[in-house]
Amino acid sequence: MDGEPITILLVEDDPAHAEIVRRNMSDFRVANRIVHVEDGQQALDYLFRRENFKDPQTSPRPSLILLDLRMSRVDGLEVLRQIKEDENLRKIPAVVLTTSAAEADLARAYEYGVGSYLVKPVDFSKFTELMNSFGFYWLAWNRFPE
Amino acid sequence: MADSSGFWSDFSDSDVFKTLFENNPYGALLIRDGVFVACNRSAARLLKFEDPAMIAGRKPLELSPLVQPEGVLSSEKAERMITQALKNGSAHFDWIHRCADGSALWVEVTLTHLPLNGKDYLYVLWHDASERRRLQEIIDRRLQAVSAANDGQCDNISFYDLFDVEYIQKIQDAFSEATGVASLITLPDGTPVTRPSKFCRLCMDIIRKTEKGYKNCCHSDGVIGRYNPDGPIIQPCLSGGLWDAGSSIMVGGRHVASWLIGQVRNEALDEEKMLAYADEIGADPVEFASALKEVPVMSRERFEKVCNALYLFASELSQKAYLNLQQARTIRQHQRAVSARQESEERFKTLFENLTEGVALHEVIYDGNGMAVDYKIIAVNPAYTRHTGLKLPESGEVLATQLYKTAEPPYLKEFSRVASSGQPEFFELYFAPLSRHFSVSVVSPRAGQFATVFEDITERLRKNRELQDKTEEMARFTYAVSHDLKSPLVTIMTFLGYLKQDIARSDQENIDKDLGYINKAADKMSKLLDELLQLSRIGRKTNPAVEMDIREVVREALDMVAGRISERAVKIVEELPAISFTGDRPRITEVFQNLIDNAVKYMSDRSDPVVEIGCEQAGENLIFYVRDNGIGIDSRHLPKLFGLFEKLNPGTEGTGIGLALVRRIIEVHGGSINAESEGTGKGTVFRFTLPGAKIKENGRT
Repeated sequence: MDGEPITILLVEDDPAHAEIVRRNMSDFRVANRIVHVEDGQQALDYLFRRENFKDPQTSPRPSLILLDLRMSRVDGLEVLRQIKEDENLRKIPAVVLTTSAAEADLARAYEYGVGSYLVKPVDFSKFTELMNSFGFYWLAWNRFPE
Repeated sequence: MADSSGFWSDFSDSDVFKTLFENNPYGALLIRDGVFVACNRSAARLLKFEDPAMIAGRKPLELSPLVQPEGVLSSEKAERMITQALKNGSAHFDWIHRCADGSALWVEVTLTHLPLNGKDYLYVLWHDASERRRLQEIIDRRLQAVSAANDGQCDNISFYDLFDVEYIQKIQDAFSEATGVASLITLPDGTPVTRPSKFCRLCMDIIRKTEKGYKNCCHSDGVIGRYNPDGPIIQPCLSGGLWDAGSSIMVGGRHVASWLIGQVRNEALDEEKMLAYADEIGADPVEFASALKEVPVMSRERFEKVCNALYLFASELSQKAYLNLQQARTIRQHQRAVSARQESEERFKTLFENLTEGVALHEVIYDGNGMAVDYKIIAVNPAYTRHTGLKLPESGEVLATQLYKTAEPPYLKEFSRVASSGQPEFFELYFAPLSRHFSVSVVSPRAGQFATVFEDITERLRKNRELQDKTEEMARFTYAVSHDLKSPLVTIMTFLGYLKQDIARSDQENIDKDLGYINKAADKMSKLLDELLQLSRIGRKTNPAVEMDIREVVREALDMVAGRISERAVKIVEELPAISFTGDRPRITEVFQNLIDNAVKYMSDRSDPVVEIGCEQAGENLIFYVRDNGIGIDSRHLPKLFGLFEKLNPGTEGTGIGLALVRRIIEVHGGSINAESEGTGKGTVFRFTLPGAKIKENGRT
């Protein structure tokens, strides 16, 4: 449990859902290292260091991307596609966290090289349990590249 | 019989000869001095006499018709044959005899000269030729039928079709006048066609007036008029004394009429026999006798000559009629062919003119190397002009490159391929010069030419695409609904969980936060459901169409968003004339309300926010616009703008239904909408049409 401090890029257009993630992650003391962007367009700008995210100090490269799919402007799948086309960004593991259980979304997401696909449960305890498992797996056990 | 007895002694071996003669299965007779002196049983049987003795003593000519089949007189032929037999020892020929019952007997005769005891005997041996003759006749008829092209066309032709009866009457009258014989032309069944010429009183007023006499006459007419290709049939009439003859008129192998002549009497007339006949048919004998004297007298030789002339006349008429028939048939065929062609041309023309498909006939232009370089349009139908809006020049022909104003003739390769191969092809193609899609059948009526039969499928493709869009939208809708409704539900459930924990911990700050999230999510859900319901109603449940003034509608919409307008100090420029439009008023109001609301909402923080509402005349249509100088839209996002649940701004409170709703309402009214923006920060303009909207002039439409 001596995980390295890491930055998670949370791409989520529903503030309530972002809050849920943040609250769960606070147990893993990484809450302050969650960077929240509100849609796909912002996510791409962040990752490609464009617009307001040009400064590497304030916009550090994330170790993990937690991505919702259905978002305004640019959706999660498009973000995934662009990440996987980029030599440098494709090394960052991406996890989809969405309400969509649609088969097509799932297939496309894996096609674009997503590492894991998680569906937001409607049940509180299940959602909490999911977030705990997620936290343990990625923040405690998983080793990221340098 | 008396003078023929005792001749057997002249034969040296008379018994042997007699036995052979009498038992000969073939007919055998002996002639001496022009008279039959003996006849065997076979011969008697063939002639239908009960007793051979009844033949002895008769002259051969008595048992023969006047004329033989080939048209020569029996007497003439008989004399010739006898001379030949006497000279050469024998003669072989066909002969027709008249039997006891009047029927004809065809025989093959071998006539052998037997000079015995200084007397010239002629030994006559018959072979029945009736069967051979019958077969020959069938073959002849058949040959005639074939050669006369009797292909059924003669079957329906009557005498009246072939001859002008009045003209024939004149010929018949003239013939009778010249020859002095009575004459009548009848149909094969005996029905008279012409009026009788030179009929004698005896026949006309006496014999034919009696029932039996008339019957006999008709029978007689029928017999002498029957089909006989070989010559006239001459025979005494049933009245017993007068000569009658007939010749059939044949056309194309078909017996169409009989020309009958007669009513002349021989110098040697058996007056007693005639008067007996008068008695038999029940005519007044005194009257009969006096009328008989009026009957023209004519020698047998002369009558035979008249008969031969008749035969020639009838044959000539037959020939002429046949030629007429053939000519008529040729003319008719020609006329039929011409009218068929005219009809087909007419049909084609009608088809060409009225076809809904455009039709154009082209000729390929080749260069010196036989390469297709262009094609010219030779002819087009009205539908061509309808579909393309193009007309051929006055000269009627025009090069494709000129007509379509292109450097390369459109689809030259494909079209010229059809013109050279003759193989029809079918294309669905986009015709760039007209910016339209066509389905085109290309056929080649002759080498180097091709015709295109085409249909404008632009509209069909558009509708297909629309339908496809609708289907996709439907799929997106169900997907979006499941996602967008589930999303707030997740929020509510999760924060209810947190709320419990926070209440347990008495963490008031978080309790408020939790309740806030729950509230917002519930609100969002409720709004979403409302709008979904609203969206589903469009196109299904519409308000009754009413006439409205768009300017009033816009002002109403402005009132509805007045709060937000004043809150953000947005300047509204409304430059609308009075415009009449008939439609669903609440929905149209909603369109403007949504668009104005959007414009105000995405105004950003600029100091001079302006929303302009107006319209422009574009041809028949009015184009309405709602323009703002707000945050604008990245051109990449424009295609998604009207999609369901598409939100361009994550931070704003919209559900992503508003613009989808606007588009649906406009489309239901037959219009279309688009959005333009020169980019982020440069404002947005929404333009849409409402077909049927008209500017009121002086306050009236």
